[in-house]
Amino acid sequence: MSPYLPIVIMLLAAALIGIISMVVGVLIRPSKPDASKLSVYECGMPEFSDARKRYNVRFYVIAMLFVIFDVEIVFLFPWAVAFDKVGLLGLTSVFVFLIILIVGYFYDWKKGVLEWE
Amino acid sequence: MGVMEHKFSDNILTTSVDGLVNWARRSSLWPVTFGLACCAIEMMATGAARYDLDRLGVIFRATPRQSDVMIVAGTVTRKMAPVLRKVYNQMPEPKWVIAMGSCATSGGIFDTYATVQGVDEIVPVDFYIPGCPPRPESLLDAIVALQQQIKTEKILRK
Amino acid sequence: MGCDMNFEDIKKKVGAEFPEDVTFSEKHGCRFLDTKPYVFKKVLSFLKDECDFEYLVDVVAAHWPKRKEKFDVIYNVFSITNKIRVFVRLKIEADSLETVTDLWKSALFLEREQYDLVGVRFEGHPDLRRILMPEYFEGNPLKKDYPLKGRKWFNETDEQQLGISFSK
Repeated sequence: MSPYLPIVIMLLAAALIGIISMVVGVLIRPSKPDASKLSVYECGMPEFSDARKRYNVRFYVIAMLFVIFDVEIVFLFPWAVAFDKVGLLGLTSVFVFLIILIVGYFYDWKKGVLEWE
Repeated sequence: MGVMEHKFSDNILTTSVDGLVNWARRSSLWPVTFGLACCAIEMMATGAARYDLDRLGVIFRATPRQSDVMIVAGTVTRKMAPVLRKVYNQMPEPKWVIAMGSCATSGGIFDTYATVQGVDEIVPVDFYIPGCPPRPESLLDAIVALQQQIKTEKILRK
Repeated sequence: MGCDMNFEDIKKKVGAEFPEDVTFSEKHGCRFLDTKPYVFKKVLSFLKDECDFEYLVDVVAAHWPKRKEKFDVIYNVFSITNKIRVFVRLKIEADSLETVTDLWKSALFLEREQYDLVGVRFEGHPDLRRILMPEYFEGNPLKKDYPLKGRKWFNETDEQQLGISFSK
């Protein structure tokens, strides 16, 4: 048996559970939408203004940094698993990769992006 | 029940599905807390340690979007009436209403210029609880009676 | 601004400043200061500045339909430094009075409440509108000639278009 078979079975089971519960829900639940039910909830009062307002750009910057460094960690995982097989060449390649990203990290730090205020 | 509501006759499959869905609905009745006045204190007492409501599956949700039942506990005034109706409208089906206490049932002792004489002028009520305020055992009785009513509902069956 | 420990000192001070316009009394454990309406604001600001009455607790208006002076307005002022409370009373014929919001900010809500429930207008109040009753309500419920069970539901004022209407 292929070593990937358990993973395929797990993915199928997860997809099936999700799909079946959603389909059963659509068939079973009552659905009576009207204008008042779909209106915005503001504790029963009529709403003052749209909830979509401007907010500080630092939230976006933090999210961007997270994505970049998270992807870096994901790239480090296969190297960690096959560490003994890639030897010195693998070590130096990964260190070059890491140094490029650490230079970027120092740029962020000096630019003041890591400060919240 | 969307597509399949009230379409099938009684047989082993439909009664089992109805029994299952009714059991799920009555064992997890989540109220939207509409505590307005003194009856809210008794509702809090019922939810507290001695007359625990959590053992009946009741978790108080602060939002109508995730709740099944609205327990109107307290006096409703003319200024509050549209708020009450709007919160009721924003609850998804299936929904029930319990009018707790004399003021929600009939205006109570406040036969005055500002008090709505009974919350059933605004929303359809399933259970009324008399009392000023009703003891926690009365509220528990109403919730258990609501559970018994939900047990007999027909969803797939017509 | 001495430490007025009791009512006697206050009586002396206020009596010295306003000799003919105020009278003092004490009844049921409450201290009253009856003042004439044309000088009440000066009395109140004297109490606030000179006698350390920095807290306006309440403004209450009462309606006397059969008397010449139709409204009785009482200011409940409290001194936190001296722990003494004085009720400043005045009787007015017309239904409007000067505001004390420039002396105590708490009067913003307290005077709105009396305007809403009894109908006494406060000239100079920055935002005089109903606070307890809904905005479309007509009448002043705590006036003595408002019927106790007089219910008008204003069914056409459906402010959120919910279709509610009342019958009882």
